[in-house]
Amino acid sequence: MTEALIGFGAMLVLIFLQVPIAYAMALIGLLGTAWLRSWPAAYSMAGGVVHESGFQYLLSVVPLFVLMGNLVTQAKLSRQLYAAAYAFLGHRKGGLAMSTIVACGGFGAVCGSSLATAATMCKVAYPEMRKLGYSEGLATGSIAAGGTLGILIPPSVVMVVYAVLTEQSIGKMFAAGILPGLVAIGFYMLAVRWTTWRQPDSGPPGVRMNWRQRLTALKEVWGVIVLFGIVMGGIYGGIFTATEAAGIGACGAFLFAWVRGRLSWAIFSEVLVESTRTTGMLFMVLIGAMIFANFINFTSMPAGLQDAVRQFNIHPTMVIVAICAIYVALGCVLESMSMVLLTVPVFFPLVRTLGFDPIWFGIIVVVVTEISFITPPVGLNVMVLRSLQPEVSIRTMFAGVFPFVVADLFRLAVLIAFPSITLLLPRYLG
Amino acid sequence: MNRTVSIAEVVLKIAAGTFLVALSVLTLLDVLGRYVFSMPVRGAVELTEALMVGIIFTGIVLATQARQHVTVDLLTMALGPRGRRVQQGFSLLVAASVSALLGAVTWSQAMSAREFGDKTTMLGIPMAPLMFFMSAFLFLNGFIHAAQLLGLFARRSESE
Repeated sequence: MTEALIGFGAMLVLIFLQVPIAYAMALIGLLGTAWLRSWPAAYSMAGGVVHESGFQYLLSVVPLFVLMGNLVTQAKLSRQLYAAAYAFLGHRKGGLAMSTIVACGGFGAVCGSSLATAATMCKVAYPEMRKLGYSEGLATGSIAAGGTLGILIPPSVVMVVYAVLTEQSIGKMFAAGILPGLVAIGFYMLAVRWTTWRQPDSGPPGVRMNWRQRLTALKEVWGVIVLFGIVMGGIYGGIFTATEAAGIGACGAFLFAWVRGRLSWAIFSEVLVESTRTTGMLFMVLIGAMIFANFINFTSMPAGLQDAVRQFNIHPTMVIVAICAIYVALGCVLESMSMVLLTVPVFFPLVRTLGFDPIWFGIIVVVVTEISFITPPVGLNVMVLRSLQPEVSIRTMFAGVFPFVVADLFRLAVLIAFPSITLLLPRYLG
Repeated sequence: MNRTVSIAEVVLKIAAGTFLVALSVLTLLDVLGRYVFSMPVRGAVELTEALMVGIIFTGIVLATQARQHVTVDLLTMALGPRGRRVQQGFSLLVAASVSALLGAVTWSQAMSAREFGDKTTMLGIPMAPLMFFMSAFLFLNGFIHAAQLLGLFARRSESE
């Protein structure tokens, strides 16, 4: 146990010295294994990890879903999504913020990244909200929070990595994300209501649209519906596997962006390079985290945790609550992918021995990492918004996002208390 | 020198993009082949894996070149210019060394794959060249980090 804690400590020191997370994990993993076993053992372990990460058929979904997300972003769907949500919700108090949340959910259905969702929606939603007199806090808060739906609503890159790490079905994992995603949208709506109730000036109502206008706006988002339908319908209709769905989705997104005339040669090549770059960055983190996880598995930590839970007779739900607390704390330092890769190998065996469903735990992990996207000091979505809207102070942003963090905590409690919300769809799908 | 670097960069980007397009098209052809022509692509899984090697390792190098690896600048923001340079130098040194180390471990894996003549089961693609590719790109990645480190020193002497 001590060795593992020293390892974690050393890794955090390196990370705080701004060594890229991937390299910090790899270095400590290598040195740690050499310390516990031998240098040749560490050497061949690292070689095995690089080899395995390279030849991973299942992980081919990662570049393909990244590519699909980037193409969809280029297709400039965000504006239509926002307009459609606005047509139904805009006339309410805080209606534009609600529209932002719903549009983010829609965007998350074709994009597996929270940062991309937040960044894309920010460009469309922020100016609209400000034009109508929305407060900076509510405007940025709703975008940052809405962005987190990107990794919960399938397809989701983090879910794929969790599923591959724990040998679960990617299809079931995706199915499990749908209802919690809808619950999240519901809770976020309540957070908007709360904000406008507390500060009535923060979110004035917009113009009410008639049903004809609403249907016209809805027609504009056919592309998102078709793309989501093909990817998810293909998986659950048994037509293709989740891995293949990613390839089909990427080709579909290409066609879609091309038909809409958004894809010049220059933009397309930039999208390809950007997607490969993101993939390289994610896989470097994957390689580093796997080397580190191997070291942790050589220590007595995983078994030690199980013994401690048994010895002190800790209630299983308390263990889950403690794990969630650790995630929120880690989220202050790490981004979602490193967090999942680092912690799942440690916590997963424990959670399994306590009898929890692995798919349910996966969703809980995704939800808590989402919370870390919007909590201070380094909530990544907030940082992205800050770079896009430098005139809004970080303090205002975190204050604006606070009601959404509270909504997230309530949602987490609901998902922990009622696992059936998560597990209903995977029972019938996947 | 600069010209060589920019040509190399363009070649790398073209290669990366081609691998990614090939992967998408391969999946599409495989699914279409299975349903429309009842003839899936032979060895699609192995081809996917080979393309993944290409995408991942060119991607790692491209990410390094664009300084896109995830870092945390929570504490270092507080450092002065001198402290910051030391910290950046340290971080790049660690990155270059770890990358070279990973290149070396993969090289020995590749050597043993060549010695045993490892091949994929369906198409008989030899593993060794793919693993040498992985190793070479990890070395290249380390080299880019090292070049960034040298650049840091060069800027320092210029400013003095």
